[in-house]
This record gives sequence, C-alpha cells and structure tokens, in this order.
Amino acid sequence: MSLHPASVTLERLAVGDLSAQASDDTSKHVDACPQCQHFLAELAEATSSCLRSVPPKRVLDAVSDARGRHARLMRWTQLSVAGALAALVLILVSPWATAPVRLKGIGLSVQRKRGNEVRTMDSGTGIRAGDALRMVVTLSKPSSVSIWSIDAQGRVDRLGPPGGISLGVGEHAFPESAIVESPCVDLWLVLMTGAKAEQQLIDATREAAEKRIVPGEAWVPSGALVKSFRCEP
Amino acid sequence: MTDAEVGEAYRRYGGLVLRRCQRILRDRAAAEDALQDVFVRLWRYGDAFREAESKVLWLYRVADRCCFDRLARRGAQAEISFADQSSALVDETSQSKTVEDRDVVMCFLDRFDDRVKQVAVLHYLDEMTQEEIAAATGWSRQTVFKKLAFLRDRAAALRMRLCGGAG
Repeated sequence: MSLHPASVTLERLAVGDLSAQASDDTSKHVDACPQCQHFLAELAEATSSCLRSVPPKRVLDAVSDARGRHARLMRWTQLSVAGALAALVLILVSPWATAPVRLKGIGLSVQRKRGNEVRTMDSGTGIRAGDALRMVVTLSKPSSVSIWSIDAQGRVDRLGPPGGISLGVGEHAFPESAIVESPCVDLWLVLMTGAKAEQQLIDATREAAEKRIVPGEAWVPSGALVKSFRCEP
Repeated sequence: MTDAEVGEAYRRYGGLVLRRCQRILRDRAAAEDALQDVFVRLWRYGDAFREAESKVLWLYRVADRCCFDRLARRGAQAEISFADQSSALVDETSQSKTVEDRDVVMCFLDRFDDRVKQVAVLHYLDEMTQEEIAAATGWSRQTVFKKLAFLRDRAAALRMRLCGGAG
C-alpha cells in the first residue's frame, strides 16, 4: 500500500472537500512530500486549463438547453393530462355515451414506493436502490400477462410465475413488485401477453446478448410494452 | 439549482471532473461532453448535491455514470477500436517496456460491466483500498475482492495479448 494519501484524497484537499481533521492530516503529509506537492501543482494547472478550454458559459448554456427541454416536456405533460381529463369528463357527461366504456389496448403504469412515499412514475422520475416498483396492468380483453425486468448489466428476471398470470378485462395490480438492487442500475420493465411471450423474450434477449447489443430497449421483442427507468445519481 | 450555483460549482470542481472524465473516456472531446452532462445533472439533482457529505465524491459518482453511459454507447464499436487501442498501447510499451494494470484496464474499460467499471475506477483512479471501495459502493469486501481479482486476471491476459508477455 502507498504511503501517500490516495489521489482522491489529494483532489478533495485541493478544493477544500475534506473534513477539518482529514485536511490537517493530509496537509501535514503534503508539506513534507515533494511528490504530493507536485501532484497538487499539476492538478491546479489542469483545473485552470479546464476553465480555459471549457469556459463556464459553455456549461451554463448546456444547463440552459436542458432547462428549456425540461420545461417543454413539463408543458406537454400538463397539456396531455389536461386533455385526458377533458376527454374523460366529456365521455362521462355526454348524453350520447350510453354504451359502457371499453378499454382499448394494454396499459402499464408503474408506481414507485420509497419509504412511505408512493409516486406514479413518469419520464422524469428516477429510481434508486431499495425502491419498490409496483405495476398496474390495464387490459381490454382477458390475457395471460408476463412481466420481466432487464437491467443495464444484461440481467433478465421474470416477475411472477412461469407462463404468466391470467387476468381479466380492467385494471389489475400485478401481484409481484420489482425491488431496485444496490447499487442501482438502470432498468427496463417489459410487459408481454400470450402463451409464447416467455420464449419470445428469451430468444430476443439471447440474440441481443450474442450480438453484444447494449442492454436496454433494443433487447425487447417487438410488440412488447416497455417502461424505462434511470437511476438517480 | 440556480445558474449562479451551478457556475460556482463548475469553477470549483469542473477541473477535477473533466480530468476524471478524460481519464475514463481517454478522449478529450467526449470528456468535455460528459463534463456538460455532469453539470446538467447537477442542476437537475441539486438537492442531493447540497446534502452530500462530500461534493467531490458525489460529482465523481455522477461523472462515472455519465462516462459509463458513453462507453456503453461506444461499446458497439469496441471490436473496431480494439486494434487502434492495441497499437497505441504497444507503442507506449516499446518506450517504457512496462504496461501497468491500470493502463490496460482503463484502456479497455468499455469491455467490462458497470460494476466492474466502478471498481476499476475507484481502485485505479481514486486509489481506494478494498475497504474504502466497499464503503463507497455498499458492496461486501468479498465482492470487491472478487472484482479486483477478476480485473487483475483480465489485465494480465490483455497484457499477454498485447505484448506477448512483456511487463
């Protein structure tokens, strides 16, 4: 083991990120160590070189772009929610809506439980280790439903029993939740219906792994419903 | 987080973050792009940054994630770049006659899964001990030990492939 402080300790010392005690101890070593002094001098040069090559304005412009994209996304989300609510009200109160409402297609919404907080996931909601993800499946006809998780390391896990779960028309809480492991890795939840779903998914993921495709939506067979979740930093 | 806070954090920590991204990605332009990603995430998750005991370690974890994402996207080209990287490394070797584990591992970082990448960065760049890596990642020492052993084996195999056993 080196007698010098770890490089990350010196880097933290350089920007005042160490505790008082650790800072004192490390400074004492540096005062007597030409090698560490040289390291810190090079670090100072690298830092000022960075500010010259990537001026703060460039970074702030990138932040500003991201803020604009986020604001547009939020506006679209709000508009979509408002539109959906308006459509729902119209359906419920319109005099000609005498026939029962029929659901079309398959829906999957995911709720994140973190401590005592439960939140419906959207594109901006992240995950972290320990989160429980609960799936709510909406069906327009009775089907056998299977859900899998695929993580960024290529691990594929089935949620629920082999062969899927038979569910009727309507909204159902899927009986099994996914728990985000530690450390958190990005993951994708994949919903498929039908008796051949499992084999299709196995074939698709195996083929993707053999082709060394990066795990993600590209691993999912066509026709499946996918929700992606990114880890919070 | 306000622009002023992001700007202040950048002036203070930007150099460290860029240096780290460059060492992981081994590409200046890609590192500058990753640097911007890091500070966009800082703006977005500013509360977590404020609460972090160590700002540097928080930024480093974000930087690692941004770089690993870029390495993964680059992964599809790994076979093509392998030849380029190999020749660059061998050229260096011919001068120094030694290829360190760190150089080999960092050169081929995109070939490992994210957990191994994380251990590699903490061990070879941050020079953390097994205990420190276990504390930083929340993994057991046994897991860290196994991943380090795997990295050393892979480094030895790659060295053999590149240099025919030299170093």
